[in-house]
Amino acid sequence: MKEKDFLKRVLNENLANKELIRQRVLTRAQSENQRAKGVVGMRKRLVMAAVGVCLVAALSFGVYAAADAVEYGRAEAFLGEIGISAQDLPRSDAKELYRDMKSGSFELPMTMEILEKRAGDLGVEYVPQDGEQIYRALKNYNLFTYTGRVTSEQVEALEAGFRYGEIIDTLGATKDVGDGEHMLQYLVDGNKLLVLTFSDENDICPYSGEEMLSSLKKVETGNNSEFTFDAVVLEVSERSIFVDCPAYDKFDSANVGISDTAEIVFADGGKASLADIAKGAGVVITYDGAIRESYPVQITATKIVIK
Amino acid sequence: MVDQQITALFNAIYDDTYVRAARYVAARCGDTSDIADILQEIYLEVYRVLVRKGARHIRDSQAFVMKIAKAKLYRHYKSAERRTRPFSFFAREEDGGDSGELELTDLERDLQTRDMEDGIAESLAAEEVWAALSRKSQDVQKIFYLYYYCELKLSEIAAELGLSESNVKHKLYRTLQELREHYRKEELA
Repeated sequence: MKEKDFLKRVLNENLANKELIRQRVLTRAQSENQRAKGVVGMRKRLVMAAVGVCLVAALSFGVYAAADAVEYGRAEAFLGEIGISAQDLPRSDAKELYRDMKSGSFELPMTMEILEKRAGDLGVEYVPQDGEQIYRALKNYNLFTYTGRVTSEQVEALEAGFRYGEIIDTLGATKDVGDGEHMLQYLVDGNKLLVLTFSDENDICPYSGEEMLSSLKKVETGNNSEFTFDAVVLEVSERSIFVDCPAYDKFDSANVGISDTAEIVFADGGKASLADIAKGAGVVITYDGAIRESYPVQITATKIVIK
Repeated sequence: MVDQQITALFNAIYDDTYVRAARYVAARCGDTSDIADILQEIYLEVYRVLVRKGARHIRDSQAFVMKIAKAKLYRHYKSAERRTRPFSFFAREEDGGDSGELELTDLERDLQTRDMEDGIAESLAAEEVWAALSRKSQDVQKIFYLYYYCELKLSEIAAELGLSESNVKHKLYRTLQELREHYRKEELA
């Protein structure tokens, strides 16, 4: 017998026995299947016993609840694509808005009101009168400058084995920060970042939503307000810095111009200068409110606090 | 019937991907005694996905299993009770000498072609060899598993473990010399 065959056998038998692992997996998987079938059987019997009492009511409510959940999920994803959080609206309003915009009607006064407010929040000076035009402008703007918002419930509902394309359909479009391969980022519950990396939308995602939730990265949000936001410095130039701020409501990255009058301080209030801002540093930026529509957006800082 | 089809498909995927998954896990695990458990977790998840989603969802079985392997390896070591046991996603270099005792080509030829001495009671020798090998460092156990079971080249093992090729060669050869003493003991006994 060859020595290498002998050692291969020793290692297989003692470290990880291929056939033993196969048998264990099959035994456990088949036992899980049997249990699942048993549970279904028990549930089925219970339902049959109760069916004579409340069939109509249960069915009506069940169908309604399922349809409602599906529609609300779609509304969340649809509105998220234009930077509107369905969570901030009454549930029925979110669904009505979704139906109005998705159908192309744009007839509800509420639709125009919400779209105009969102455009105003982003500093758009000229807002078209046509709702559909505002919607398309917001969607295009968001694809480049806005990280999609999702809830942990939406992520948790994902199962391992989905194609990435299906995940995007479920969670809605968002910014792709990848270079060479896709790196989609979503902001979960307003303060955690989910990054999905893949090559092709047909690739299978092996992670369940639960596993994705366990790998989220915390994002600083404590200072976010109308014209102030938490950010991380990605690049430092002569008179500007490029920052990443995925949790900010108006954009998720920006070129921040620093004028001579801008105040730069350390967190303890000590005076600082542009030279003290390092790549990777956490900063709190206050700007003058104007957002120049470019990619990435450009703003002018009035104050920068180095954390 | 459905179960049988899934099991047949699972077996095909298992046979097609096992060595690659084992190689991935062995190179990155914190302890070689975890390899079997992690592989079991990986393939149990593969089976579950087959049950839930069917075969249509798996277009490239190698890529599919490897993605699950990455997730499971991460999850295995992430759980609180295992946090004290480190594992490596990154290459590293350790101390360890360049033996200079053998040219690589000579060593590889020796490793590939050497016969066991006649008359050895293989089962006894196997016990002795494993007892000796299991007392060796994690690196040595991984090198042996990757070389003999996964059939990687020394250069590939060096890349997987983040060691220099000469360091891998040195550890493999030195340990092999010790193990050969066990064959001889068995033969004499």
